[in-house]
Amino acid sequence: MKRNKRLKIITPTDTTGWMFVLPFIIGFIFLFAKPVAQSLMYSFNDVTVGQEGLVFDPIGWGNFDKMFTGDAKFIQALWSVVKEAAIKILVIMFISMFLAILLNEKFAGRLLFRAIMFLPVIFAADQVLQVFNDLGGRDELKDTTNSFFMMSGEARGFLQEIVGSFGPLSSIIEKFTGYATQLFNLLWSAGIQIILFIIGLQTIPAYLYEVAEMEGATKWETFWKITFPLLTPSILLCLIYTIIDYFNASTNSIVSMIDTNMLGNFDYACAMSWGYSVAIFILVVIVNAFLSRKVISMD
Amino acid sequence: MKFNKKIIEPCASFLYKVFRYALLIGISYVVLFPVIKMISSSFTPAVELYTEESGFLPSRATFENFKNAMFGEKAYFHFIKYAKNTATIALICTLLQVFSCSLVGYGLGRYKFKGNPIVYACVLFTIILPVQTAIIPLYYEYRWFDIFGIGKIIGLFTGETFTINILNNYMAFYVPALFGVGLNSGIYIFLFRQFFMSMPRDLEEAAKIDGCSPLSIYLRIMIPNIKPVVVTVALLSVIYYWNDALLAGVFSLPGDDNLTLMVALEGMRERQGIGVNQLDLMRRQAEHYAIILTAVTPMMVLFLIGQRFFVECMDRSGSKG
Repeated sequence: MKRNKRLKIITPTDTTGWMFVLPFIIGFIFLFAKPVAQSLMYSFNDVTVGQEGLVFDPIGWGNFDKMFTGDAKFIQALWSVVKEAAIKILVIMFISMFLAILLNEKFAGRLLFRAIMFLPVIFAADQVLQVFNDLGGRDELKDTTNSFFMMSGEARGFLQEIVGSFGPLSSIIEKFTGYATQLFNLLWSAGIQIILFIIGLQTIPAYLYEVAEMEGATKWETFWKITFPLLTPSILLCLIYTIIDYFNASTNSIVSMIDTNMLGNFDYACAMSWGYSVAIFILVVIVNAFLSRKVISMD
Repeated sequence: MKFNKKIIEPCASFLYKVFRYALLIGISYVVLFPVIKMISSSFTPAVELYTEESGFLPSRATFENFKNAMFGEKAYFHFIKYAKNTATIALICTLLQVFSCSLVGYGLGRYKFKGNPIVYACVLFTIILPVQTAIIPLYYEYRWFDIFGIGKIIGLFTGETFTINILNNYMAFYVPALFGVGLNSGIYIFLFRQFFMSMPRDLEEAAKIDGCSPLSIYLRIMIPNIKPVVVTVALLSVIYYWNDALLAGVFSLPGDDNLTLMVALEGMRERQGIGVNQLDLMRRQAEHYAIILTAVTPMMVLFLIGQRFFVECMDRSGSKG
């Protein structure tokens, strides 16, 4: 009975609803749909700047043809972006979910750690990030990480002596410190996802955990039976966000190619941007279609 | 069995706690490293910057990088001027954006009108499509802005379409922000919708019985109830407008007086390596760090102030009714 009461929401007249979303509809039609459609038109034309505005010369699929058959640079850039996509996106997802679960627990200093994890959101400007990449991506971080984990000099020798017999371990440590620089980049693109995951975790009702504890479930079981299933909506949301964010990042070689072509050669830039966006859109739709059936909702 | 559990459990939980702190401290270190490095570099004398023994702390702290670059007599980066432009855009856009996005989010979250899913899909579409796709046509749109077709209707009578150029002030930032298609507007609408949906119905019902109009329910009851979300969105909005170089680079006016911080920084970075000797290059680099530090400081302060709301927003997001 109680469920029914909760489902019976939202009844007032249609017009009030339309009135509230009216600003967006105006903005969407005139300042989004129209220019986007125009840019689609540009991409099928050879556009030059004439004396009285733009001059269009229809060339059909010419720009798209050039993109995939004539322009080696584009294909190269596309490959470099796609190559790393799957693993990077998955790692970002894993890191952000893991950190969100840690930061959602109650312990002393969690506010401080939360604040630190959100710092990347503040420094999201390209100009700032470039400098940080210079600073953080240099070997220095690797060295200091080594010393941070006491892997430098004597300590390392000592450790290697101990673990020498377990050969693989030292190479794992090597690899791990090597990944520190990678970790930096990944952490810096996980800020928003951590926030989304924490919000998702908060929506899981506390009584479920109480029941689980009373029934004697272990933490491991609780995670897989309660936390993970109820987090699936957030996982889907974050995955889509991460995909979009990864492919649209301005450090991405395709995006910077589009940016440089925008000046002067912008029919081609529009075509590139369209081809690229449609590909991302299809990817998002596929991901959404595959995973949304697996999403478990509270209702 | 019982005996085992008594010993193992506290041990495991202690180990877990240690592990958790070690991990969080390690990760914080990786995140903070460049920030600390930047702060220390900007206070380091330029000659010392790339020497062997340069560590985290400079041998003596100096303000000369800041003075030379921004605040001294020969300053070439007019920080205050740029910051003023950026702040004007960021603050006004934020106000407009919070207003329009909360309004639209409210409509989408609380009213189940017929077109709701379609409008929501449009919102998602604005999030997905990269801004670059539309930026050139938008430039022409703003250069000959016909006020959403009104100019064309006037044109029917006067014979010439009435247009205005809104690129010659910062209107090209304000207009989209007011109509829910500004920088990241889609994400904010999405957030507002999510929170409005999770609020209890009773609040509205009671107000309706008392004879409140929909608009005053929204203004007087809903908005005060989601203050943390409003603050969070405002904070994000200020930060993103402050950091934006793409839109600002295309839509702001030419000339040094109208540059925003990030656009000015971009320009400076492009000119940086040209025709200077090694020492000058080092000096420039140190000053660059100083400039970046000054440019992000306002946002860090803002974040520290707004952090409380931010956390509260997250902790409350779960309270469903």
